[in-house]
Amino acid sequence: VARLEQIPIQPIWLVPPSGNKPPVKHFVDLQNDVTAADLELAVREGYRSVEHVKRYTTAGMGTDQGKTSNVNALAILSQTLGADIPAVGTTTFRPPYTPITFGALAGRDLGSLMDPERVTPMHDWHVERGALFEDVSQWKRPWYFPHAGETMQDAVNRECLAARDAVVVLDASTLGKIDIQGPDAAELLNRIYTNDWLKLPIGRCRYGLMCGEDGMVFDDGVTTRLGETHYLMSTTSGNAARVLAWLEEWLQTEWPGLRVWCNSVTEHWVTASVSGPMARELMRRVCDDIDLEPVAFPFMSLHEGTVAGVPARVMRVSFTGELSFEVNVPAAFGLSVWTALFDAGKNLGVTPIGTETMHVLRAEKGFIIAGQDTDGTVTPIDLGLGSMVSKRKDFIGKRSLSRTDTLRADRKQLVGLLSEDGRSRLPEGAQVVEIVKPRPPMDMIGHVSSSYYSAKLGHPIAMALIKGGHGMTGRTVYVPLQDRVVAARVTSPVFFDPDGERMRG
Amino acid sequence: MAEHANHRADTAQPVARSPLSATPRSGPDPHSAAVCITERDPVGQLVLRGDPDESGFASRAAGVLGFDLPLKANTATRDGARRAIWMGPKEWLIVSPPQRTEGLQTKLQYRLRRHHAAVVDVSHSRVIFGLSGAEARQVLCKGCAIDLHPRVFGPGQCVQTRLARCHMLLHQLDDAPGYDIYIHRSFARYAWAWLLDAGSEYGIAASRWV
Repeated sequence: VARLEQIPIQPIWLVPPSGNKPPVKHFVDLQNDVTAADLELAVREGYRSVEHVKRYTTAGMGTDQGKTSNVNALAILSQTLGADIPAVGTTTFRPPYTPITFGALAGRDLGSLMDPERVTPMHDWHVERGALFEDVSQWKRPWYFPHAGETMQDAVNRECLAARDAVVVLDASTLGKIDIQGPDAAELLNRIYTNDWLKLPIGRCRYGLMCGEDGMVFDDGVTTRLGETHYLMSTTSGNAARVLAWLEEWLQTEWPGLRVWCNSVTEHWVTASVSGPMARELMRRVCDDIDLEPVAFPFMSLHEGTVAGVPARVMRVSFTGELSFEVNVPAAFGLSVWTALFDAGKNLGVTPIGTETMHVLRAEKGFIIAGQDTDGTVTPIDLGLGSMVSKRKDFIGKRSLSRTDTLRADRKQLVGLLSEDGRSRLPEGAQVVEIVKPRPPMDMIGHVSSSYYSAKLGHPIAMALIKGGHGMTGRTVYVPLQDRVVAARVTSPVFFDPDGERMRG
Repeated sequence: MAEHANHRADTAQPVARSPLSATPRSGPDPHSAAVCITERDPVGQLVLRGDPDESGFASRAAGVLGFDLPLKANTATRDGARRAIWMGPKEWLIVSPPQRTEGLQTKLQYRLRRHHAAVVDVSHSRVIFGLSGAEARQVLCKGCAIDLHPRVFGPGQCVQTRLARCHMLLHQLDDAPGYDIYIHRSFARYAWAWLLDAGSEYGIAASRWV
């Protein structure tokens, strides 16, 4: 019997390809598809260190950190380098070394603890009244208040008509509020906003647009002059913290010589926005130390007084386009004042409204929502608000508005759209074309940014950003949908009460 | 006018309310609990902004408060029910009994009128939870990355940081350890729920301001 020759056990790191087959890939790291050829290439390219080879090939960079591949990979590398495996070494594993569950990482941040739900002092009242809620950043805002048996559209139609025909109250507490005071407060506003602020009288309010250094709108709001060197700035709900950080960044890094202090008071005040033809009548029933008549209390002005027994700041500011009084009271008294408004207004048919109705009402007036009708690529001129861009003074973003790109005539501009059939509601985000083809691709000239059914007008309305839109009034454009094409006419985005008589009354 | 009068709102005392929801919660007896959480009665809170390098600013403010402003970062000074909490190099939170707040604000504004300073009422913007007991530090550590060990953080020290997923101002009052935790009003329910959850393994007694 022949004796079998014994040889030491030898590792085979790489199975040689058979000569008569086409070349095959020797996969080493199955997570990142790294082959033996990749490792050999790394060496040819001059990489020697195991850490460099790892980064060049991504061997050992998967979630297993090489636990299923590194032994082979490092051995092939050693073989290719002609070095000892121990001399080549291993790579640094990233944690966790032992696999852990997502549950361990999540800990107790589950269910209602997963993310904070920010609520206003009137929240429980909204819940009891049957509101459904919408997330605005981390806030829960009432979306609409359906009665029994109502669909969302039914509820929104009813709330919208109540706003235009009677009186409604909106919880506007979530909007950012920044107290700005100091000798250079007006100068700060002048540099931050596109329009002029140095001549705003005490007790008056003004709408402002804020741009980034690129000239694009990033926030808007009404700012009120409370005193000689004292202002209250309002921001959108989602941008409250961002705007304060923006102001502080400019003050601390670019304008340290400006003598002005900015402090958030968003949480100190709550806001009940009373709106509608009967708004003044409702206010009379809860407030007897402010003269509410138009001459004493004009549109876009402020009075301090007492509402339902609570010290209040009241501003005539309107986002709905109706006669409106924004009642601001310290937060702990918010629910008291809210309830008093609803008790006092019972025989007026006072109705709570949510964000959906608010969106419809402002769209009927062509008022923009930053973040919906703007997306970081829209300038004030694109919005048709060129009159708000001061020619006199410098402000953040002004220089960018004179770039060739921001001066183009065919930029996307805000317009209104009315479907030709008077019935079709255009989906938000739908693309707009001038020429319809049997199938895509078609040349897109813009998109629908806001779209609603208007109960007051009896037909759908929409706002859109369309190339050269300001010069297209009256033209017909097309919105191709999956099953049909909707024709729409370009109009002004102001669909109702264009002279603003209702809100100025 | 008569019809008008019938619908006047009842202007009897308006009611101040806590941001916590109405749901009552039963818990262990405070005497046996290793941690107690208390929703403090409302206090007055003023933001004071000003430059301590401006000659006279700090001394004038101290003259009104009755005690010195803390000038060392992350420290607090107090006298009775009044506290001054360092929030930044040019920012303090002044805490006082609620009925004294307006007067205190007026006095500070007057005494500091020649300085570049601001005093803003933010009394309603935060709630304060008292957290104390043998395991209070453990509860906080579950959601706070700051080193709270007694050798580096003790009574009289404060810090603005995160508690789990919200902002908090933390002020250590005593060695129990006892803390005041300031949470923005809209986050109060979240923070309260989180603290109760974090404390439940030790036994946590909760009491509410009603």
